[in-house]
Amino acid sequence: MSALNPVIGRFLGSVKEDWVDFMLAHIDPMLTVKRVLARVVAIHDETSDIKRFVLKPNKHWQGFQAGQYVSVKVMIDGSFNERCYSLVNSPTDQVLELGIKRQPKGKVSNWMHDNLSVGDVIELGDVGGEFVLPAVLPSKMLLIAGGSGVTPIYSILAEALKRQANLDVAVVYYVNTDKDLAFADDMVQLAVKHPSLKLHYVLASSGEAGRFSQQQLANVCADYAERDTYLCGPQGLMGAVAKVWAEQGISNKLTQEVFGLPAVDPNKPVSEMPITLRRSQQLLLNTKPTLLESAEAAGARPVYGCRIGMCKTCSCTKVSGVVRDVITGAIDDQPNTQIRICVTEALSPVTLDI
Amino acid sequence: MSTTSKSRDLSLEEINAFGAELDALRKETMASLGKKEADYIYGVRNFVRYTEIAGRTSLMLGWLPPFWLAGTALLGVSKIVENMELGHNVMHGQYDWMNDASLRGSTYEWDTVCTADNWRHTHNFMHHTYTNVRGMDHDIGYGVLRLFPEQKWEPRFLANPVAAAILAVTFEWTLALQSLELEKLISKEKTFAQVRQEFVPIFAKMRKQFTKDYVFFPLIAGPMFLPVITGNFAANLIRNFWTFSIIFCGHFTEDAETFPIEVLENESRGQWYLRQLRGSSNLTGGKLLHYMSGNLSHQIEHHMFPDVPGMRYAEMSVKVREICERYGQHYNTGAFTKQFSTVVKRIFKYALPFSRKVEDPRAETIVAKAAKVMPMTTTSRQVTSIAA
Repeated sequence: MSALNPVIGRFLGSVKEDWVDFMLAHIDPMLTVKRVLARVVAIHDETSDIKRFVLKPNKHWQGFQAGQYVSVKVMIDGSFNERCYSLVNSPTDQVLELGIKRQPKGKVSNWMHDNLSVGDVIELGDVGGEFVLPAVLPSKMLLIAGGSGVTPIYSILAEALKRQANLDVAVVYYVNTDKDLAFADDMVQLAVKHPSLKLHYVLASSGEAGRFSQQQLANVCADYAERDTYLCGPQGLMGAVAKVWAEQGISNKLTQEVFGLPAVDPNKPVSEMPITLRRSQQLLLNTKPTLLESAEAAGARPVYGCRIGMCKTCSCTKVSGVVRDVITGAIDDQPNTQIRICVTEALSPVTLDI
Repeated sequence: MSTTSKSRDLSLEEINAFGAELDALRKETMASLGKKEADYIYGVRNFVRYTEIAGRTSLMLGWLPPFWLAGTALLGVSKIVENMELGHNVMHGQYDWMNDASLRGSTYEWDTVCTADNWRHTHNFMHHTYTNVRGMDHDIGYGVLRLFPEQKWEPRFLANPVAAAILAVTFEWTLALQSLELEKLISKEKTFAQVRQEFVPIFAKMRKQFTKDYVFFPLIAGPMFLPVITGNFAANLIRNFWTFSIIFCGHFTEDAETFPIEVLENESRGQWYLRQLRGSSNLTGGKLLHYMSGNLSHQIEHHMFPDVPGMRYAEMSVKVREICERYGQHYNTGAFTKQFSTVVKRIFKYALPFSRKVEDPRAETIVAKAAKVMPMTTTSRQVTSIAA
């Protein structure tokens, strides 16, 4: 499909892409014009609540850098839901691997654990993330992971050691019990192959020494302040680590990856929420009862129609953020959904694709 | 408003309560959207695609009459369903909640000469916001027909029946040109230069559609090109007639009301719902009629809830009807033949200078009428302060 002759190209340009994909799917469900699809080839239980999904992407997969995440689109109860998951495999592998933890109230994670089977085909969206290794590796590294945050950490670890087999790297992995260690076998194998890797498991079940603190960290890794550090884990751990780094004045040596959807901060007043208009590159404050009015108050000119939520002329893509429909009260915290800005208010920082 | 509305005048409180009940119905329905609605619209889309392929393939054997007839019928049905149940509904954003980019209201392009962008403006915005408001809703007559006594009579309207017939035959082309408001060239409100510039994207779509039906498919049929051309032409005609009939039954039946522009001043949500109700009319029938009319057989529900998936209108109509009854509002519905005959009557009657001059338009708005009505629980002093 990539080297089209101009006539076919022009013809396909006037035919809807989803019509062509629909026809191609009758031949092979993985065949598309440009959408990236992936077939589930294996599912393993890493821990009681983390599953490893192994996927084979189609020809349109463009690759990624170790530590990055991919957006996964799955259809649940009639609508597509997008979530970003870190890629655990090496960028040169033929298959993709995701480690997905079942979140207590997680719509997508629960669906994937309970409904996704080997042989199913799902759609992949964009690859993204800044949680990657620099072009020149530092002399010493420290990787801190908590729970399912081990996924991008493991990816970075494997890539770093591939680039420099004798890299001085320490991994500190915080979990509740030894049953919660995900990708442990993989990391142990790396430790066997690379003596310069120091692996530390910190189990909360073992008591006081099983929780993060500045003292606890110094005990397992005395020179932590000299190392370039990568951190990914639950909010509590991340906040605590970032605090220690800030107190020591070494925040510039800490790279963090944050998981999860935006949440409403009850302490922050709604009128101070920043609203980003991505295409027109404008940043404004949420000063009015609806997104449309806030944008207009700041001098932007989004297109609108009836202004009562009926004609959908003002409908646009909300890239991220928590919003509320002022007519029905319905809350929407999902990425990449369509909203009518004339009847929607922001509850968290919001980015719109206008 | 027509001289006698079959709907009872309501107090402002009743209007608010009426609106609140309909808002609650909408909220309940929207919260229940899920797999059923998604499967349904994918089913409609696939039906459109398979019937198009079957129809066009059949036409390639169209020298044999059964294949020509079957091909034309299948292609006509495909175009009707694509325009009405699929395209029109998708473009209203009824399925935006699915997050499927191919069914997004703001970007969907449909299989007819009218550009989706123009349709979204003239229909979704103008027609649905200013429904049946004289001077604002261009769909009242489309600039070429006189359908209500309040419209000013001009000699050109003597040709109403002829204009209507031409409109029916060429409906997809006249809808494509609707946003140009060509009648403003006659009244000199628009210049030819303006029209020519606005015509550019319309022409591009016209060329694309024309090429598809009258150049591309005939070409790939080779020696069978003639039945393909005639079949495609007939299929387009079938769609034009059908969509014209259904659409005209939506707002031009006997009891349909139109409104003065003053009705828009400070129109509350309840008043908006009332105007949508009084300006729209339904058609009674079974599931086949609902499917083939793109659920415009439920024009009332569609106008009250344009962004609710059309396949829910039938079930919502039970509640809407019950609410209307309780508030003494006329629910305009009837069989297709009856409703359409009243539309034809209008086309003939108002070709002639039967008219009704509106002395004080403000007195006819729902607000003014509400002010004169004494609700059960408030004092007269409260009511007269609103009448100003």
